[in-house]
Order: sequence, then structure tokens, then C-alpha cells
Amino acid sequence: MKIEVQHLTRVFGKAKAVDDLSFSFSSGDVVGFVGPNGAGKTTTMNIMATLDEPTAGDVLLDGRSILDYPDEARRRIGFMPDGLPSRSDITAHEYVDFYGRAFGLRRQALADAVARVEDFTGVSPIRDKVLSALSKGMKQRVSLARALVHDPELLIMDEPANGLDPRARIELRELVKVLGEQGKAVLVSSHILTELAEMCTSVVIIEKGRLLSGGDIGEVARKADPGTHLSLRAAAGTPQDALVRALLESPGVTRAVPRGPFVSAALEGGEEAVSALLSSLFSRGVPVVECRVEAANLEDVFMNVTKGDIA
Amino acid sequence: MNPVTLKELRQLTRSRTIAGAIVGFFLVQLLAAALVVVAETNSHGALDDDCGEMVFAWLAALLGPILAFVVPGNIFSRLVSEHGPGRAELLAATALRPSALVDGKIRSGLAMVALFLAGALPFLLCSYLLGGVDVLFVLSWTLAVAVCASTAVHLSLFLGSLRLSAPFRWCIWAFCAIPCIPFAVLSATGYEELDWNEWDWILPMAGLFVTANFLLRGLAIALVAPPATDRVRPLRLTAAALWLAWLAVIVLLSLHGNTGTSSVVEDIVMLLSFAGVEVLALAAFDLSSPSGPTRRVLLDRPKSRLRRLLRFPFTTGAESGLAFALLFFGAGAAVAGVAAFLARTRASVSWIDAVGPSLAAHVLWAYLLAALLLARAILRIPPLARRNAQRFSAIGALAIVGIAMLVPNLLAIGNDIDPDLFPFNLAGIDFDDWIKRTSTHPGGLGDNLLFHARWAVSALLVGLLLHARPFLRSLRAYVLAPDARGGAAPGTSTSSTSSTPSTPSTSST
Repeated sequence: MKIEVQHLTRVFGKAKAVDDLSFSFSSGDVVGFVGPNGAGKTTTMNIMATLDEPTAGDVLLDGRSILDYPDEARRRIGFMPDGLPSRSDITAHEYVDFYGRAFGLRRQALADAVARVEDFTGVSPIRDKVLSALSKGMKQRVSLARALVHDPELLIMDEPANGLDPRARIELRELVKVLGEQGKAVLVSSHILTELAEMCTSVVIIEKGRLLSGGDIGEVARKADPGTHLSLRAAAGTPQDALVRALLESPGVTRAVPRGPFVSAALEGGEEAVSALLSSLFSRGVPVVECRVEAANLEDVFMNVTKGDIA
Repeated sequence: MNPVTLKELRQLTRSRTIAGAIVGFFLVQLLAAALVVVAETNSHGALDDDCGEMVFAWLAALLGPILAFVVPGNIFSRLVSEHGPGRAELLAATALRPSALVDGKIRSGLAMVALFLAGALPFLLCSYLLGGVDVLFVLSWTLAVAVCASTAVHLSLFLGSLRLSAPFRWCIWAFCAIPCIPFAVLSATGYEELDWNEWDWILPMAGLFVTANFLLRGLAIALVAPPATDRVRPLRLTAAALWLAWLAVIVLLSLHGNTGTSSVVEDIVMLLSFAGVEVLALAAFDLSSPSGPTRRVLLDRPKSRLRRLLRFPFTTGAESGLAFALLFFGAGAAVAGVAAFLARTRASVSWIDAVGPSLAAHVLWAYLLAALLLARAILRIPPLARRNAQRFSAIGALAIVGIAMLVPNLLAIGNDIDPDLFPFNLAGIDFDDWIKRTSTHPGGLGDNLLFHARWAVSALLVGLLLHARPFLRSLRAYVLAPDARGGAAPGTSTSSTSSTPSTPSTSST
């Protein structure tokens, strides 16, 4: 399945929540949808889930417009909004069962589908508890089960890790990874960028409704900051300030910040520049005993790319 | 089985509030029946002949308000908690049709009505066994109450579906419930005066309820439907057809009915009140919609400008809906005038008898329409618009209009004037008082109705004036703007968008 967001625009009064946004992804991709508060993430996701109508532009699923074929799109999309179910008069099982029926499942097909998603999301042990009695993590699982009950090809998740404790976040991350491995296309927004970096294969960064950057996380990071990120440690007894000063005085080093026992540095250029830097440090008598090339950091990329403005 | 009905019934059986209400209702009935039986037992230990009638009166007084307020209120509160602006409508993202969603809710509401009726039935039959009422009367009354309750359920469902903030919807619900109070009281106390064999009023009444239910169901479906091509056009066409049908009935009754008695005139004005209800429903629905024609509506415009102008009141959008509602409002008032004139010439019935209820309904709806218009106008004030202060603007508007409604009565305080000049509290609520006064002081109430009518029309005109700019902008966008095919909507809400897409900035991931 190929999902194409084409020149999407959504205007509320005089404010453009989404402004000519275009990106695409396919089955098996787990895409992180990142942007500051008010960037237009939820509006975009609502439009993709057919809950809102764009002012201009379109979303295509395998080339078919969701505006022209909304019923077909709804059967192919699972949507998990930012907000958890909480009622005291319905159990987790009844809730999932109801949405299965709402997607047209009946009798054995319904029973099988509900059992499958309850097992997958870990809802089975708490299936007879009312929703209001569940923890946030469990409600999130119920919400995921609801979104998956009709076996959608595209799963849209709006801030799924919001308010979850570390264990629940890790469990949710593992579920999302499995969904990606099963061949589903997943679009997930979150403010917890370290989480996204671990579960996503690619990322779309937006601000004020506009696309700032998009693609494979490493590729985006390279585009945002084409240099190399290093972590260096000096020999015991050498003051950390001396290493920081030496780094900042070295050609090509754009940043050097102490982080625990290490100094984090950004360097223009690739491996040759790293080699030259190390030679320079040794020649100046700074004893570096450890040097690591760090992977791209999504938080750094986000801070470099966005300005913190809202639409 | 409809999935929504199944879910609602499951929730109903688990709800402590409903279970408590039913048990409480049962116990109160038992207590009331026991007290009446004790009170109606004479010194020889025998029951009075009209004991059954007294029991029935008590049961009717309990059941009427429960079916008129408690059941619809419960349906309304559940819908308000599930559905609202800014909340993801998860059911809209499923394969469930909007009609299935609304029908499911209606059926669960009717099931609740049936539940309460079933709880009352043993006591109603007991009243028959005690003597004083006949079984046909008990059954006809129960059926009539059930029909009224079904309309109350439909109305609550429609009001709950409005795309307005929850407090605003509660205010409107309360506003609509106020006129129901005298009806509920009448249903509980005035059953003796009704002649259940007079089919000339029972049939039009049944027709009113059926058409009102039909219309309210359609409105609720349009409200819960996700954005579509033009979701209200079929509805407005149907409403217009219904209204014309009623108009034909009214004209026939006016011309050929036996207007020598006042009963035909009463039938006519009852039918006219329907126009008021319709205007309220459509106005509330349309004014909860976003401003300006949607992209889809603009894409479906006819080529001829004249046809666009004619079609404008039948398209989706707040302003076009307002045009439609005002057309009906004006037409309703005109027909009321003609009916009153005919009634006076043919039967010498006073104008207050002829148009009183219809005018009262129109005055009430004019106030509400003014409140809705004012709420939209307040929301457009820049700082509030930025904050999207829906609650503030809605409650503020209702407070302003509420005070405006009370002004005529406040002015009367402390003045040395005839108290009969201001008996018409809150635009027609005191129906019982009105019935008494029309026979003794025919002039007093008429003056006050006219005063309130002028006052309400002034409030409406202020609201319209505040709404004139977006109305004209919307009309221009639909009628005059060039074809928007392939680009963004040039409507009021979208005018800042270019009509052609900008250079693609696609980034494949």
C-alpha cells in the first residue's frame, strides 16, 4: 500500500493549520510525525482518517482519493486519536467488540478478530473490566485493539505514548515495531523523540503546517547537520575544560559540550576530518583515550530544523 | 442487530443511574397508589368509585415528566459526553453509516421509554381495576405519552448532535425544555378535558409528531455525518416539501373547515406551530456549521449564476442555512397572518385565539435564533476568535438574550400599571395562565404577545446585522466566485488560500 499526502492545506478562519504539505510512505514503513505544538500534526492525521476535510489537496491510498472514496478508505485505515476511552458502563471486550461490529464484522469473523487483537495487544486478561477502571497504559492497549480490530493496512497513531510510564512506553514501542514488521504502514506522532527514533524507520518533520524535512532518520539528520558527531574522553587527570578548549580551537569543530565523562563535539566533514582532529589533539598534548562516532540524534535534528513557531 | 443499539442497551443495563431511576420510579408509584387507596377508603372500609381515576392521575403526573425530561435528558447527556467539537468522532472513521448511528441511538432511547412504560403498566392497569377509568382511555393515553416521548428523544438526539460546545448545547436543551413543562403538566393533569374520540385533532397531532421525528432524525444524521459533498441539500428539500404539504392542509382547513367553532382554528394554529419548530431545528443546525461553503459544495455548483442563487439556501453552510431558516420563518409568519384573517372573517374568532400559540412559538424561536447569531458574532471578536472561546461566546449570548427577554417584565416592576399587561412571562411559558386570561382579559395577553414579538424581532434584527458581513461574503463566494475546481475553496473561511496549488514540495520518505 502506498500512502501519498498531496499538497494538503487546511485553513481555519485566517489560520493555516496545514500548508501545502506533501509526503508519502508505504507498507512496512513506521513513520514518525514530528513537530512542535500547533504544527498541524493532529489536523493532518484527522484528515487522513477522513474525520476532517482539507481546504485543498488530497490523500491517496494506492492512487485512490480518500475524499472521493471515504468508505473504502475507512476500511483500510485504523485511527488511534490522542485521548483514551473512559466509561464506567462498558468493558474493554464490549468496547472492542462494538468497533468490530461497526466495521461490519459479524459472528465467527467478529469473534476471531476480537480474540486476535485482544491477544496481540495484551487486553485478554482485563477484557471484562470496565474502561474507567483501567490504567492509562491498559486504556492505550484497548485503544490500539480498537484501531486494529478490522485489520487495517494503515495505522495512524496520534501521540500514543502521551502520559504513559516507561514500561508501558516500551511495550507500546515493541507493538508498533511488530506492526511494521507485519507489513502495516504506521504513521505515529509523538513528542518523545527518543521513542520515535527507536521505533521509526523514517520521519516527517513539520512546523506551522509546512514540511521542513522528511525521509530516513539518518538521511534527515545528515541533511540537517551534515557533519560528524563525536563523543571523546580524555585520560584520567586531564581537566575536561582543556579538552573542550582544545576542540573548540581545532579547525572544523562547530560545537563542543561536556556530557558526563565525555565531551560531545560536532565536526564538519567525514572520517578524514575525524582523523585530522585526533592528530591535532595528540600533537597539542591532549591525551584522548576514547573517541566514538555517534549516530544521528533525532532531538538534535528537531532542534536544528524547527524554530518553535506555531501556526 | 444495529451495533449502536446493542452497545447502548449493554450500557443501559450496566448503568446504575438508570437502574436506580427505574427502581425508584417503581417504588414511588407503589407509594402513590397505596396512599391514594388509603385516602380513598371510606369509613366502611370500601373504596370510592373514582379511586382508580385518582390513582391514574398520580401515575400520569409521575410518568409524564419522566418521559418528557428524564429519558430525553439521559440520551442528551450521553451524546454530549461522546460527541463535540474538537473531539475525534471515532465512529465517523468506521464503516458505520450515520443513519445507523442515529437509528441505534433512537432505538435505545425508545427502549428506555418502553422500559419506563412497562414499569408503569401494572399500576395503570391497577387504576382500571379500581374503577373510574376505562381501559381504552388508559391505552390511548399511554400511546399518546409514548408518541410525545419519542419526539422528545428525537429532539434530544438532534440537540446533542449539534457541533457546539457542551455548555451551549445544555443551554439550548434547557431552552427547548422550558416550553415542554406546561405540556408535561397538561398531559398529567388535563387528560380529563381531552376528548379521545375527536380524530380531527388527534390525526393532525400524530402527523405533526411523525413529521417532526422524521425531520429531526434527518438533521441528526446530517450532523453526525463526516464531511461529504453536500449533506443537507436533500434534507432541506425534504423539509421544504413537508412544509408545503402542511401549508396545503392549513389552507384547506381555513377555506373549507367548519370554522363556526374554534376547534378548526386551533387545529390550524397547532399546525402553524410546526413551522416554528422547524425553523428552530434548522437554525440551530445551520448555525452550528462552519462559516462559508465547503470545498465540496463549491465544486458542485451549477454553472448558471441564477441557479446558484436559487440553490444557495439549499446548500451546506451556516449562512446559506440562515437564509433557508429565515425564508421559512417569514413564510410561517405570513401564513399565520392569513390564517388569522380567514379565521376572523369566517368565525369571528379573536386574533389571539387564532395565532396565539403559533406566535408564541415564533417569538420563542426568534429569541433563540437571535442568541445563536449573537454567539457567532461574539466569537468573531478577534481576541475570542484567537482563543476559540466557544463556551464564553455561547453563554454570553444566551445571557444577553435572556436579559433582553426579561426586560419587559423588569420594566413593569414598581410601576403603577395594570398587572395584566405583563402576564406573559418568558415568551409564552405560562400557558395555563394564558388560557384563563384570554377568556377574561382578551386584550392584555394580545398586547404582551405583540410586545414580545416586536422585542424578539428587534433582537433577531440585531443578530442579523451582526451577521450581515459573513452572510454577504458567503453569498458572493457561492454565487459570484469563479469555479473552484482543482483548487482551494474561495469561501469565507478559506478566502486566504490561493485557488491554485503552489509548487509541490514533495518529500518522499
